[in-house]
Amino acid sequence: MQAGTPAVLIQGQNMNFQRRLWPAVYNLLAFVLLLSLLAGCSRSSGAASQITVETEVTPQPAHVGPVTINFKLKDATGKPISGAHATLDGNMTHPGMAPALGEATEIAPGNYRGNLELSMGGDWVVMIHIALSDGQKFDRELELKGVRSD
Amino acid sequence: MPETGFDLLRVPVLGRFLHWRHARTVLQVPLLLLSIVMVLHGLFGPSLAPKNLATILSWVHFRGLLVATLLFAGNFFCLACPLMLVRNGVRKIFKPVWNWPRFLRNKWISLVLLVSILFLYELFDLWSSPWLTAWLIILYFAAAVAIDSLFKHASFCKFVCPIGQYNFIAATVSPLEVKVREQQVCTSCTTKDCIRGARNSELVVIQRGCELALFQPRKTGNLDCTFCLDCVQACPHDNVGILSRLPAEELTVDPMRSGVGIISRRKDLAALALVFCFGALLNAFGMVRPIYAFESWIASVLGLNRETPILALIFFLFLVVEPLILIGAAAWITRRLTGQTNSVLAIAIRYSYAFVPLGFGIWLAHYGFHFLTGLFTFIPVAQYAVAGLGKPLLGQPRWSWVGFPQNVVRVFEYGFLGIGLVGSFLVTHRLAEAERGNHRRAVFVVWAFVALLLWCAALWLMSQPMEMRGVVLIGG
Repeated sequence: MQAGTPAVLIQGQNMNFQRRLWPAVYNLLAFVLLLSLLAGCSRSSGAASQITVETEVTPQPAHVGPVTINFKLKDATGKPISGAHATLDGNMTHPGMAPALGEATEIAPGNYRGNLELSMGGDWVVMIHIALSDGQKFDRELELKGVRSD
Repeated sequence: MPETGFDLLRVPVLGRFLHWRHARTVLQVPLLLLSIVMVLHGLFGPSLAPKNLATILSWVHFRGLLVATLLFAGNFFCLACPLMLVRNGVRKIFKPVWNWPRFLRNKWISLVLLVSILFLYELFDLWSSPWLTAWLIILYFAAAVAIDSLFKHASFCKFVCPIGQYNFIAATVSPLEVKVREQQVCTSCTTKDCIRGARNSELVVIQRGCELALFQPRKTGNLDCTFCLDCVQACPHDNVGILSRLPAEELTVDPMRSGVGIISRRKDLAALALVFCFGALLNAFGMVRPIYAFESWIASVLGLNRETPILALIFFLFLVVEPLILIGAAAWITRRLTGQTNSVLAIAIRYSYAFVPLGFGIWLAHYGFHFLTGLFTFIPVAQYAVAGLGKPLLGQPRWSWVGFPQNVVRVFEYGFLGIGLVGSFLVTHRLAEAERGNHRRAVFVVWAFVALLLWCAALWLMSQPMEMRGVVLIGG
């Protein structure tokens, strides 16, 4: 064990130490607060648009292997949106796992379908990257929790 | 007799570099910069863990590289630890005036922190949250700086840092050790600079000695050694090297170790060794499917619908009940067989260290799996992070770059488990050989059986399909 010298408290040194300690603590707290605020700001990105994306995944519950993702694109009035280009980007919530990538095709006006090959059981997040024919781009996130490995 | 084995400090170029007094800083600066990048990306980058540098580098690459370095070399992560660079900077302003309290000079705080991190990792799914991971890094820096600004020496490293304790225990099976080259030189040394620090003519310390109170001539093994190389810099006789040795041999001997004491009397160290081994199993259990069935079963039996108490119960079963039963029973049988007067607790403490190699094998298998299957993932994530700044200077992210196929990595996993088991067998054998009486072989069989049981459990866990989930109480 470490050689046991008794705790030494030199009065002047201690006062000096305390004078420097509290500004440092306040500065640290201010830094932490600032980081929290900045982090909070960065997370409050605005909604992409008035466009709605209705998704459906088969099979339910999802299993390891192929899954099909169907989604409908509608504008603010409920009218189907045709001619969009969409890619699918599936990732496990754990980092370092192989992603599942795919592309969706329009099978009916405003209805799109894509396939993904899920390689492992667990929680997945699928990002649907959508590019509309007018150049607008946005993403929708779809959670696939508890994908079964059997 | 001078040590005649391999000495890393005698290797051309690398040895000269490590001998250089600024070598540690040169290693720390890139890791500090990387930590800053990880924190910023964790706080402000994508919230999806596989696309964020904080989570990728923390939970895939750092852990994998850490265990690989410990396996092939030694505790070089502590050498390059960026926390100490920041601490040294802060200490230029705040000179610590207190000594670490005597009653806390043990591993209990760090043990609780280590278990807490393992618990919070499962409870809050830290692997899936860049934001929480970034905050964990920030808090780690804050804790190191705060403690070492108040308390002298390397109080944070020796008594608080959970990663440090993990490294100390794991480094007992490393092939390299910082030790004296020739005991005779130390015997005739009058200045003891390796512990007191080198001083100039005005007696001002110009090179500190060991901050962890390890006096080189009486140091045995890697316990509590951060490989900081302060002793190497301080020794006026150039008598400290980084020498090769037989991995895990230090677990089989029980001398009075400088700065550590006699390990067979250290309940805290033995508890750390057991948490290291049983925690490895628990951590691996958390990523395979059976845990969800087990949690659902506990929930239904006890009528619980919240994860915290269920997880706490599982931790209690794995880290307290299971070791208590297995190690307690083996120690009791050993006492009966040998007829020794030592208490069951004393025997249990002595043999607890035999499970370190197996524990390390399980950690290697687990972290090695993530590291090797996700080896290249930092490349697309870095490309993505740079592209997010405005210009794709590193090119478009190549998301197809992942790592080695799982079936290839499985071979390594089983290999690591096998090496761990053999290591535990050898340590157990050496400990049993030291017993009195005619029952040495029986004592070995008893402890080897416990190691074999744990190895079977690890093998079963590793053969389960991985199912990494965050919310556990859905769907069973």
